[in-house]
Amino acid sequence: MASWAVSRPAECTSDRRVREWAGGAEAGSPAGRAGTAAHAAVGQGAGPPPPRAHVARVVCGATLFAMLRLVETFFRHRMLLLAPMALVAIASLGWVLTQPPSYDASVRIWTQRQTLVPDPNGNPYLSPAQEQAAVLTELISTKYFCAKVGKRTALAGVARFHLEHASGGTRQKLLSLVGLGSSRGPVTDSQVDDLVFTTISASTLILPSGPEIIAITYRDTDPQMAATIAQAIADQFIDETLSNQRVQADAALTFYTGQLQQARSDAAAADKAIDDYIAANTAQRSANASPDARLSQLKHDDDAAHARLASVQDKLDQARLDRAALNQPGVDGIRVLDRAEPPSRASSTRKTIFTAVGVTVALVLLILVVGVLALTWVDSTIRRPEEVETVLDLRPVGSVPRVS
Amino acid sequence: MAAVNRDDERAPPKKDAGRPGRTAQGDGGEDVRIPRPMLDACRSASLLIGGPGLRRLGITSALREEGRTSIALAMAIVQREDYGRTVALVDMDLERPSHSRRHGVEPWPGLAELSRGLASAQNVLQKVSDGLFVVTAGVLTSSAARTMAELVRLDTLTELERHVDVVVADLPPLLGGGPGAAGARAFPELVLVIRAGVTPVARIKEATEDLHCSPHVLLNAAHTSLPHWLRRLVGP
Repeated sequence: MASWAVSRPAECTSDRRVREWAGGAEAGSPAGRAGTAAHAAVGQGAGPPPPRAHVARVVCGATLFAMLRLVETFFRHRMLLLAPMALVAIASLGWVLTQPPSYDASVRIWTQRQTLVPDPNGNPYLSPAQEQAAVLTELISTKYFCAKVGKRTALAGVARFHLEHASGGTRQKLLSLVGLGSSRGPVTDSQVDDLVFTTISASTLILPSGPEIIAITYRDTDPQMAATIAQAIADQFIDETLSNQRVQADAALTFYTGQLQQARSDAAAADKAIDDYIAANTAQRSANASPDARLSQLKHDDDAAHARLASVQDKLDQARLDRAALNQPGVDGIRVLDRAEPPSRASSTRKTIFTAVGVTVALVLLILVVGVLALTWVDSTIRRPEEVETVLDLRPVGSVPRVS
Repeated sequence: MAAVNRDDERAPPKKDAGRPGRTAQGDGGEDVRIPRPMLDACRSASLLIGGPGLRRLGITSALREEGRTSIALAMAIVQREDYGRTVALVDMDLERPSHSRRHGVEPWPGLAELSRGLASAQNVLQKVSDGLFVVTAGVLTSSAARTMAELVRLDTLTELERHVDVVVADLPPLLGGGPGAAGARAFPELVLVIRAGVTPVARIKEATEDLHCSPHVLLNAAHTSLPHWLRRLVGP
C-alpha cells in the first residue's frame, strides 16, 4: 500500500479486503474515497501529499484521456461532423465550376530614380521599382486615378451599362415585389466612378519584378478588356508621373525666373553705386589713385552680384532645358517595356482552385475543431471506466461492454 | 445455450465455455438471458467487491433503465456458479417490481409480506434454479417509501440471510423521489450501475452525495467508438 494512502475507519468493509487483495497500489488510489457523504465523514485529504512521480503520471493519464475523449467524440459523431464538411467541399467544388474564366494581362514598365528635384527624405535603400510600385499602389487605391483609367478605356461605359441594367440584387427584387422597392434614378458619374474604382482596385496587382521593373497585372473576364485596362493603368501612371514632373519643372522655372530678375536688379544697383561713387570722387578716376576702402567694397559687392546673376542664369537655363526635355517621350524616367497583350488562355483556374481548397480546408478544420469541442463539452456522461475515478472520484469495479 | 433453471437442479452447473451466456428462467417466466460479457464483468467485479465473503450486496443506480436488474441477476448467478453459494435475489424495487414476471414466480408472498410477518422467510424464497432463489416485492399495503422504511427498520433482510449465503438486492434507483436512498442504507456494499454515455455526471453526483458509503461503480453498456487500429495504438 502506498505510504500516502489514508486509512478510513468507516469505509466499506470490502475496501479493506480489496486493498489487501490488490496489494495496495490499486486500493491506495486516492480516487474513490471522495464524492459521498461517507468520504466527508472520514475526513479524507489529511496525510502527506502523494509522490511527485505519481502526480505526473496522473496528469499525463488525464491528458491522454482528454485527448482520447475528443478523438472518440469525432468517431462517435463522425456522420454529424462529416456531413457539413462534405457540404462545404461540394459547395467549394460548385463554386469552382461556376466561376467564369478570367484572364490576366500584364504590362512591364521601366523606372529609374527621379533626379529632377531630388527628395532629401527619400529612402536610398529602396529600388526605383519599389518606390514607384508603392506610388502606383497608392494611386490605384484612389478614386481619382481609377476614374481616369476608366475614362481612358471602355470600362466606364461598361460600368455605366451595368448600373443602368442591373436588377438591384435579390433584396431589391423582393422589395419591388411587395411594392417597397425604391425607384432608381439615372446613373450618376459618381456611381460609375465608384464601380470603376471598385473594379480596378480589386482586380489590379502591382509588383516590382526587379530593381527597376514594375509588373502591372489586371484580371478581367474579357481578355481584350484586361489588356486595355492594364495598358491604361500604365499609361495613366506615366502621365501622372510626367504631369508631376512638369509641375515641378514649371515651379523651378518660375522660381529661377524671379531669382534672375532679382539678381539683375542687384547687379544693376551695384554698378550704379560704383558709378555714383566715382562721380562724387573724381580723384579715384585716375589709374594711380590711392586705394579707397569704400570703392573697394563697392567693387566687391558688384562682383558678387554679377556672380549670383550668372549662377541664377545657369540654373534658369537648366530648368528650361529640363522643362523642354519633359515634352520629349521617354525622358521622364518611366517607359513601357512590354505592352499589354490580350492573353490567349484563361489564367484563373489554378488560383480559383487554390482559393477554394484554402477556404474548404479552413472551414473543414473550423467545423471539425468547433464541432468536436462542442460535442465533447455537451456530453456530460461517463463513457470510460477511467472517468469514474477522474470525474466522479469513485472506484470502478468493472465495465460491461455493450452487447448489440 | 444452457439454462440455470429448475431442470438443472440435479446437475451442478457446468462451465459455460464457448457459450454465449446464462439464462435464469422460472415456470412460465420470460427467458432472461444474461450475456456472457456481462457475466464476465460481474465475475471480476464480484472479486473486487468481496467475492465469496459477501453477505449482502445492493445493486442500485442513479436513474432507471441503467441495467440494474440484469446486473443484479448476473451478480446472483456469479455467486452461485463461481462460489457455489445459495443466493437470494431480492426484488426491492417496490415501485416497479419485475422479478416475478421475469422469472415466472408468484408475485407474492414477498418482501412486503415478510416485513409484515404474514409470511416466513422460507415462504418468500422462491427457487428458480439450483441454489438461486428469488424474493419478490410482494403486495404493498402502504406506500413504497413506507414499506422500504419498515424493511430497513426491522432489518428484514437478516431473516433472509439465515437461509441463504448471500443476499443480492435489486434496489430502486437513488433518484426520482423513490425509496432508493433509504433502501441503500440496508447494505454495507453497494454497486452503482451507470449506463455509459447515458447517465449525466451531475445526476450521478447528486445520487451518490448522500450515500452512507462509497459505492462500487459498474459501468454498463460501455462502448468505444474508436476504430480498432486506434485502440491498438493507444492500448487498452
